[in-house]
Parts: sequence; structure tokens; C-alpha cells
Amino acid sequence: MKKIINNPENFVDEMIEGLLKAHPDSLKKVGDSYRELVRAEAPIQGKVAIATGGGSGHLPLFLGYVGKGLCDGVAIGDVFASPSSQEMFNVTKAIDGGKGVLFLYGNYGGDVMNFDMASELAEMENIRVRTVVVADDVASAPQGNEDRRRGVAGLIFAYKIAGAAAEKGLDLDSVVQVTERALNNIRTMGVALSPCTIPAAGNPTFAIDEDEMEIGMGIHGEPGIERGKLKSADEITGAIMEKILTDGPFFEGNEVSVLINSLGATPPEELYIVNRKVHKILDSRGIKVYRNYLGEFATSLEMAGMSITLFALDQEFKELLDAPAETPFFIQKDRR
Amino acid sequence: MGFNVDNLREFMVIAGEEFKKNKSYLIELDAAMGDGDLGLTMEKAFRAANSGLANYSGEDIGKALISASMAMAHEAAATMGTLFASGLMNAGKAVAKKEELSDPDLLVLGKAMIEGISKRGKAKIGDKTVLDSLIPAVRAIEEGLNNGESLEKALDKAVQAAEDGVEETKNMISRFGRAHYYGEKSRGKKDPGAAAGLVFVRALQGYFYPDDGE
Repeated sequence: MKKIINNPENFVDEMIEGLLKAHPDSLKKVGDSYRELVRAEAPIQGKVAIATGGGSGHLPLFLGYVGKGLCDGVAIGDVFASPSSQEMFNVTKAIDGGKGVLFLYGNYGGDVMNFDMASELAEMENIRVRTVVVADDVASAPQGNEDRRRGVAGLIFAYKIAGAAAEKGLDLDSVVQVTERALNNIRTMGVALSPCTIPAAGNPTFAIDEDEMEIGMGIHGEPGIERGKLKSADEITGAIMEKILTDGPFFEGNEVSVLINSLGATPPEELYIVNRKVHKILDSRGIKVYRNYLGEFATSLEMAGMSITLFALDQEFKELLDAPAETPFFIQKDRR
Repeated sequence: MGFNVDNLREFMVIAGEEFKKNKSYLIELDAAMGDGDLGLTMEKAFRAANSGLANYSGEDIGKALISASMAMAHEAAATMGTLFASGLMNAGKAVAKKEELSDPDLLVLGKAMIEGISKRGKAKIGDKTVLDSLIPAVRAIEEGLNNGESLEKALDKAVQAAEDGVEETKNMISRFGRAHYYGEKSRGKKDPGAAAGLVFVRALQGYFYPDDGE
């Protein structure tokens, strides 16, 4: 894989250095490190703060969701590696506005351990922390083992709901409650067509033939549920939607928000073809689409493939989803 | 036998040496099931623990352990570094405000360490993790001390129990970390984390009774 990089060891720091130059009014560093970023206005007194974090290589995840109406701070790890608990703790201290901090991130072993550790460190400094772990990937573990599922593009809906709730002035426990309730209604599944290469490793994360696809593969190349010959957009979409619709609370008469996410190399043209079929399937089941997001939200460097996320809505979720948000990567105005 | 902050520093140096000595062994075990960085992580972790202790100037063993654990968590954020750091942090909390530990206090420390690791990793004995060597070792120390044996004898048994524990992991299937993707294929292989636990127990013996062991 050809890459436009310098020394691979500096990949993450140089990326963030450039990003801060592009968005000096939106984001700032906590200290000298490029791995701890917060909103320019942080800490915001009287508002529940939201911290997220994870490995690099997934832009716009995770740092792209730090800004108005979403998260307050982010700890950034090496490519596909957890940030340290100390980095998370430093972010936590920098964003706490006296109303406590929500840790909201994806369900990966390293991230969970480090955030748990950071929450103990915060406790010792009398900062109240609560945690909500996002585990929306239906392919990564069967029903009954939801706590072993990985967190993928559903994170964006979780950020949106939690961020809007915090901005509205809800207290920490209420933000946690509404976010957990939203996550019960959120399901994602994806397909991978080609691997990506971690700059420092130099080799593709997995091998797959030119004419093959793997349904359910994780965003770090974790094994999926089925590898086979590449099928048509409609067939792939049908297979994924079948799994999502059986797994989650998506019923006739419901409204859902749809998010079609590119894993990095799949172009928007193909996402629209997928979107077309998603709407047909939902239509045939009497499910209405309320908001439709499409583009790069949670990528895996240059991996080809996409994921579909559905979020079953009620009035409260619709209002929170409609709330304005603004980061360098995600802008939503007040009106639909 | 009293154990103060200076003793903790001496022990941590020995632990660092022990992990350095076993670096390639741990890398080899880990490469068979994970990404092979365990030896490096452990070396880094205990080097960091030593510098964390160097930055602490008080007499409180609890605070000293917490300082070591925070440095470890920061410098060795990989899984096993975070787990050991969590163990040491919990151990630090358990002996907070003490300046000198008795033998029974050491047992409290060991139990708290296991509890910290277990809570952080959400694993239990039999899951093919570091706990499969540490838990039998601490149990052996507890039994020994309860039966009125010397700490020396109890540590002998602890090392043996940890060694047996590592062997026992060959019969287990990995459920945690990257190794769990190997599922059934992990059977027959020693768990690298459990081996790291054994190195730690050997370091304890190496500190208290340098002439015992190999």
C-alpha cells in the first residue's frame, strides 16, 4: 500500500499537528501532548462533560466528534491502540465543569481497561465519572452476548444523543440514562472488501482475495461472520439489513435514522446505491426514515467496505438528534 | 519482617531485572497467540514503576505503590501493563497510610493486587490469563502463613503454585485479549500473561530470599 507519510512513528502526532493548524478555533491541546484534545471552550461550567477516545486510524472517529453538541474532549492512541489512562485522566480534568464527566467510547478491551483506570484516577480527585460503552456491531457477538459486541459507527448516534442531552442541561445520571436507552435502539453491521495497512506495521491487517468480501468484519480486521464471493450491492445490503432488523427493535410504523458509513476507500457513489436499497427494504416493512446520514464517520484507514447503522427513534430521540452540532468533521444546523 | 518504601524500591528493581531477563521468553510465548509485544511491555512497565517510585519522596507505601502504578499505566498502556498497574494501584489503596508492612500485610497486598487485576480485566481463574498463576501463588502464601510456616517456605510454595498454574493454562481456552480469536487453537499453548505472573512471583522470591529458586 502506497502512503503519503513521513516516519511512520510520527504518523499520529503529525496528523494531529496538521489538524490543529486547520481548526485552531475548534480544538486545543490540554498540555504539550498531541494525544489529549478538548473543545476550544472547555471546560464549560455547569454542563456535563463528555470524554471519548480510542486508537487512531478511524477518522472522523474519535476526535472528529469533539465540539458543540457532541463531546468535550478526546484521548488519542496510536493507530488501532488504546490511549493511556493518564491521557484519558488529563482530558477528564481539563473538561470537567463541575457536573461530572461521561466516558463514552467503543467496546474494545484496551480502551475499557484504560477508561476504567482513568475513572478511578478521577474518583481520587473527586471528579464524578460515569461510563457508557458502545457495543452496536451485531456481527461481533450473538444476542445474549451483547456485552461482548464491538463499538462501531453507532458511536456517532451515541455522541449525538449524549451531546445534545448534556448541552440541554441534563445532569450526569440523566445523560447516562438517555444514552443507554438510545443504544438499546441502535444496531450496526458492515462488510469489508479490502484490508488497510497500519503505517508502523507496513503489512495489510488481513488477506482477502480480489473477488471476495467478508460480512461482519471489524474495523481492525477482526474476523466477521461470513466470507464469500463479492455479491451485488442489493444482495449485500439485503443480507446486512436482515441481520440488523432481526436483532433490533425495528417495527412497522417506527421511524428510524439511517447512517451509511464508508470504511475509508468506498466512495459516496456506492454508499448511495446501498442507501437506495436500505430505503426500499425499510419501505416494504412500513418503517419510515427520519434522518439519513451518509459518508465517512468511522473508518479503518483505507479499508474498502461500508457499514449500515439503524437507530429506532421516539420523540425524545428525534429532538436530541435534531439539535445543532458543530465540529470540524460534523456540522448540523438547527432545522431539518 | 518489616517492609517499607525503601524495600519496595529494592523489590521493584529486582522485578525489573527479572522481567528483562525473561523478555525473549515472554515475546516468544506471546507471538504464538498475540502480537508478540508482551516482553517489551513488561520491561517498559517495570522500568516505569521504578521511575514512578523515584518520583515519590514520602514514606507511605500505599502512595508509593500508586505512584509506581500510575507511571506504569502511562508508559505501558498495552493490556498487561494496564493490568499490572491496576493490580499495583489496588494494592496501594489496600495499604494506604502504612509505612511498614508485616507479613500478613504482604498477603493483603497480594490479594488486593489480584482483585485489582481481576476487576480491571473482568476475568477469573480458568480464563487463561495472568490470574491463573497469580491466584494460586497468593493462595499458597495464604495457606503457608495460616499454617504458621515461614515466609520463605510460603514463597517457595507460591513459586511452585505459579509454575503449575502456567502449565495448567495449556488445558484452557483463551477468552480474553487478542488471544481469544484463536479460540480452540489456543489449547495446548501456555498463556503468556500467566507466564508474566510467574515472573513477578519469582521476583518476590528473588527479593526476599535471593538464594532460593534457580
